[in-house]
Amino acid sequence: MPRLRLPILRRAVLTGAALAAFLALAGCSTYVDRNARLRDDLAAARFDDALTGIEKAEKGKDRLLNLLERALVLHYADRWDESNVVFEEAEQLAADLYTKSVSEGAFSLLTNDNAIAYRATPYEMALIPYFRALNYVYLDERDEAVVEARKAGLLLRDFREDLDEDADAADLLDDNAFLSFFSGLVFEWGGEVNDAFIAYRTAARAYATATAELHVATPPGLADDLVRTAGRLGFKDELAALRDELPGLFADADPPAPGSVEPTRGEVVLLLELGFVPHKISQRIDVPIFKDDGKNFSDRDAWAVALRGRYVNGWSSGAKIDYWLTVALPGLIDEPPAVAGARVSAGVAGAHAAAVPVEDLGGRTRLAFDRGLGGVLVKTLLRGLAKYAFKEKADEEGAVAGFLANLLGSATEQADTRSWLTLPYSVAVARLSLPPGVHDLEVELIDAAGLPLRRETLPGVAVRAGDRVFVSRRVF
Amino acid sequence: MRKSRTITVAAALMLAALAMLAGCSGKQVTRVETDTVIDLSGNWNDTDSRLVAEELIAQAVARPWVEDHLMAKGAKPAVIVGDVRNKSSEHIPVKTFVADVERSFINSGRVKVVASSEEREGVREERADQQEFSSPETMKQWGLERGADYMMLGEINTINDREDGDEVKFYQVDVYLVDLQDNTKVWAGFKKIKKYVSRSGYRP
Repeated sequence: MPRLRLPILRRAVLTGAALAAFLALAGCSTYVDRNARLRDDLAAARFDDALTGIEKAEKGKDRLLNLLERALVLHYADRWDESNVVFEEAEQLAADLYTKSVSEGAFSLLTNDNAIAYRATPYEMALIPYFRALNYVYLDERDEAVVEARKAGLLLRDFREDLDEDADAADLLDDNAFLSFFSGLVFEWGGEVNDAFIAYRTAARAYATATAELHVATPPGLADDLVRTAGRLGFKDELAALRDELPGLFADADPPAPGSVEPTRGEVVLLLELGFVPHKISQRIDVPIFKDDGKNFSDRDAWAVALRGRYVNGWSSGAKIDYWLTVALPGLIDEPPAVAGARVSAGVAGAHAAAVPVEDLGGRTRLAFDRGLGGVLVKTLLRGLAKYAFKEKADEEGAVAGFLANLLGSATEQADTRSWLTLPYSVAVARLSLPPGVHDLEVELIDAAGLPLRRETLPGVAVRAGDRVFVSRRVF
Repeated sequence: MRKSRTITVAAALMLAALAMLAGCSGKQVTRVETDTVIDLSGNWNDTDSRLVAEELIAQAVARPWVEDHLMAKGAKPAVIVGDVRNKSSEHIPVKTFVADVERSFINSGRVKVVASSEEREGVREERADQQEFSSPETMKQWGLERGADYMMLGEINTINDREDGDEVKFYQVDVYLVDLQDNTKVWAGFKKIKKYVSRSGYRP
């Protein structure tokens, strides 16, 4: 009996291992693959289909992303209350994800980074208060929108503190000028003039020092915002100091006008969210292991760094190759939208304005990807070496075990392509001062060269005297 | 020996693959008493709302303005709870807090609480309905509503401080009572709450 049972058990285990490896292979579609239709559904305003797709694509480690995608689709579906509930859950989860799982980390070294729960980047997190504030704006809940502006300030403060020792990352965030500017607009709209001045000032400094690698311009009217709020607060010294600090900003600003400016007119702030943020793909790369390398698995860190140099700089054609290490590395698909800005007019009211780019999420994504690629490459190679070591060990156990180890290593080799896919590529802002009443806004969308692409009408924008109205539109 | 090691390696591979596929977690729902204190996030919650309201109103009704009013008017003061503005960085359900404050006022037995303007609209609709459909003996009259003597106003502020996984949340609730006749403040009180939220860097 024992002679019969062992081979049966062995065959069963081996079959199970093969099946598990197959299942792992089948389950290893990337985040982008699983959400292949999401962007098309959103662009076509098929919100229910988009939500269904997000639900189907959910995997435990992508929970945060799943919530963010869902919340944003709900936002565009004008389901603002539901959007806020889901965003709230996402924020709570993001806070809880401060605690890292040791087992997740260890497991990722044997499989891939998708085994680790996704943590949003600072520039992704910075968009949460923006969209949540807009939700509250549309619900006409000013106090709650102002809460989001306060949260934005805390978020930026926390990021600055976290990133103090990481100059590259801090540079990327650059105080998120847009979030500060938008917070200022919301604060002022909610009657919090002092907070508005502080936010405008932070934004002005951040735009002035933004890296040239980001395609952003100082928002129209920011200098006037500072002059107006400083005037209402009696902040003469603060404004004078800022004029000295940023003389270029105030070159075209209107003279100080304390009190409510233009009480007989209202303002439209048009926020155009353009295109889709760059996304990642998984690409396989092959790096040779030379016979001369030996099999020094005890110092994999140094070996991974050496292999990175080999991948980046190439290698001598005379070297004898022992093994091709195949790993999956993320690549970035960066497709700027055709629409780069807009010319906006208000028909009979005669007002017109240009929408200028104030947030370059595409640029932030690209910079973060480029700057992080070196580290990702080393970690990927380390993982590849761990799998290689595992295969070598399994080879000693027999050809079948070696084959299965190789199969499993290959099946689980997948780059981490996760990112918030439904975010826009950039945001452009236009501001119009209009008389009270209901206005139809004519928006001429233009490309990067300023050539017209198409026209759209935003009908029925209600403007009240002395008030501000926010209008946001996603443009694909 | 060789066969058993093969089995071990294969089993390890299978476990690794299955572990990768795992990741679902079950959900469990447990009913608890409504006065059980449960702090999940450290954010403002129902317990904070109730405790702050009870403490503030206990302070308020123990102060001389109640006796002063009784002496001057010969009746319990009537209070209306007005705006409590949320000036914090959290979405605090202010209506729940206002309801807690009203309940604490009523349960103190020392003051009368006038319905809010929103509630009064509903009551007036009902009274109008009575004029048409109720019997003369039970129909309520117009123009006999009790006007409030004092309005309670207030605001909720927060200060947050964070370092790595540690966070301190400081809430301050300031409320005051304004005499509706002459705009004088007859009482002011505050309640502070400090919370420490700690998140460990790693878990198994």
